Amino acid sequence: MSSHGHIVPRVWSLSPREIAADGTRRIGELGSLYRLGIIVAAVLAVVGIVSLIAGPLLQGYSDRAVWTYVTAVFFFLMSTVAAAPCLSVGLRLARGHWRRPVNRVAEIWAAALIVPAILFFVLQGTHPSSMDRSSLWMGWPGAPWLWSSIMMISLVACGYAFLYISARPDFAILRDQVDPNPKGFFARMAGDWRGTIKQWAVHDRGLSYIGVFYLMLFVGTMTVISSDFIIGMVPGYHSSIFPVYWVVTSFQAGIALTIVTSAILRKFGGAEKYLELDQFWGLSKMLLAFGLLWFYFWWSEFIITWYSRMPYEVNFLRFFFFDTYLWLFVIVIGFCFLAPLLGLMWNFVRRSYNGPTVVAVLVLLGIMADRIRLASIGSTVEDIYAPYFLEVPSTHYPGVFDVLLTVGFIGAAVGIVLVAMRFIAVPSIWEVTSGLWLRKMRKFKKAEVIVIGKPE
Amino acid sequence: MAFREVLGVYKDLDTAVAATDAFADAGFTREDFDVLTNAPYPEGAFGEDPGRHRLFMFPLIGAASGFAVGLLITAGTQLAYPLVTYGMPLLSIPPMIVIMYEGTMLGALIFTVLGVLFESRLPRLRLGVYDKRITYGSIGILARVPADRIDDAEKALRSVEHENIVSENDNGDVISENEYEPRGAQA
Repeated sequence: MSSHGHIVPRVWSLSPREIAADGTRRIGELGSLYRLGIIVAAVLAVVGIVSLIAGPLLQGYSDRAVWTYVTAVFFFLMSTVAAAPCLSVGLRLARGHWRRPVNRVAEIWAAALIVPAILFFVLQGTHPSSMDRSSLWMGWPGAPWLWSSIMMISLVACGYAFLYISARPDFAILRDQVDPNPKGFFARMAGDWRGTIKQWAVHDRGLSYIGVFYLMLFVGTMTVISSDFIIGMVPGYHSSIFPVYWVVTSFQAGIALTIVTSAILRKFGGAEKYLELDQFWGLSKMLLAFGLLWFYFWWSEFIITWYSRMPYEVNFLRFFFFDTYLWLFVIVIGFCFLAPLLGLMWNFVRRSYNGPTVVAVLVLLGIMADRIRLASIGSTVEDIYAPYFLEVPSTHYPGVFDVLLTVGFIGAAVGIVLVAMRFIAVPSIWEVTSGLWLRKMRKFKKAEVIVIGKPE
Repeated sequence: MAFREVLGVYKDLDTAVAATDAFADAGFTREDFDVLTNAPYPEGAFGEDPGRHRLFMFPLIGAASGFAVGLLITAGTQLAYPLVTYGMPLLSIPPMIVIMYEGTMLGALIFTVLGVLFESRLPRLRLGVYDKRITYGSIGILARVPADRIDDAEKALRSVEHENIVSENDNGDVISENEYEPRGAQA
């Protein structure tokens, strides 16, 4: 440790050969715990699919309330699995060094985008036409099904393209060092990658472009989802702040998911040399900032409704916060705002492994509670064509199938990421290696400091 | 003019840069060689020719095409079937923006992916002159020179301590001086 308190990560003292050897070893040596994780995730996925069929699908689309927890798990996966790659995009654009081992941890979740995509298409049956009701689409032909589907397909395709382009140099390393079969998986995925100057230049630009498109598509898709599934389903609810709240809290969940994944990889994935205090410290600062943003956007929306206090707005407040879903809201404000604020305001908590991890777990639980609350709000209003929100529905409680399908589809997403880790190095080999020659420890009088090269 | 390739593989940055110096001393220019690495180095570290590309054109063209299609679908249909409602303007711009945004993003995305493939000259059927040591951290200096100067290029690459020299013969067969055993998953 240097004298001013910064932690010097061990990874920067490794050689390119050691990093390549370690990366190929991590791919090849996925142990018994990994296999157990795959089996548990597969069982959960089957349970989720069976619960979806036996529960909501057999009951049909006539009662939207039946689909509440399918919507909730879809919301949760969009706010975590789909949001995590945005963190990778943002960190890449900022061009920091500490983020190099973190990027792949965040973007590997793009592999699981297929799960919320499937749920999205299953849920399309719950949407009536946008004709004659309040909607973002204003009765546009084919809305909301066609246009929101195009948005979702674009996001998922962009996510997979982003992950593939990022992982391609690592596929080449695995092609050459692990699987010599010219028709094997790694050879097919790497293609003719040789690592020429031009290939790296195109790779760098391409990754930036696709990443930015992913970010833009994510914001657009989440705006459409918040409008289609929540705002458009509650009569008289015309909030321009809610989509922003929805996107910002999803970013918060994406950061939390990355911290939890990093902690698990440190403990069980052999990545302790890469994911050190530097990474947890950086991520925890972002989690704290987004905890404060959570409150800002929630308050901005709440105070206007609370102050104007029209009768239907009083019903909003009762339905959203103070009556029907009071306890869920208490969990949300406690875990998404108070936990990051009171926990991560202390530097010794931020600069630790356990502190950010515990807060991140609480944030994920808070986001889950928030998405259940919002899915229940969007799914249980009976007359969505009414001009005002005059009748507050009662609390919607989950049944057995609801619990099983929620756990099952989260397990399916985790299982897909576990399978992806069998083929994609986490953390990235090439990205960690490329940071080696830009960062050195140097003596500065009696202190030891980190000297960082900035070639761009 | 026929060109041929020869690859020198070096253990570290210092020997690789020394090889590019020897290459320049032999009368070659920076356009005559490429550098193969398993991670990107700062631009110009080897005194190499920067990898010029036109990738930025692809998302621009794609976005413009997607925007045009979105505009055609939205404005075109409303103008083709003009239904004036309560005297409001014929073109309903707010929902048009959403669909034009989708078209723009989709077009930019598709063209960018195609651009990455095109600019990387993909797909190629074979790696050509290549050495698997490169993805294990070694650095390759790939000379691509007129066939009558291939011996000079190989001599320059050999003049520095190297791990391997890979070349191609007149039939296009790749010849490696030292075969490499992949490290495998246990590396």
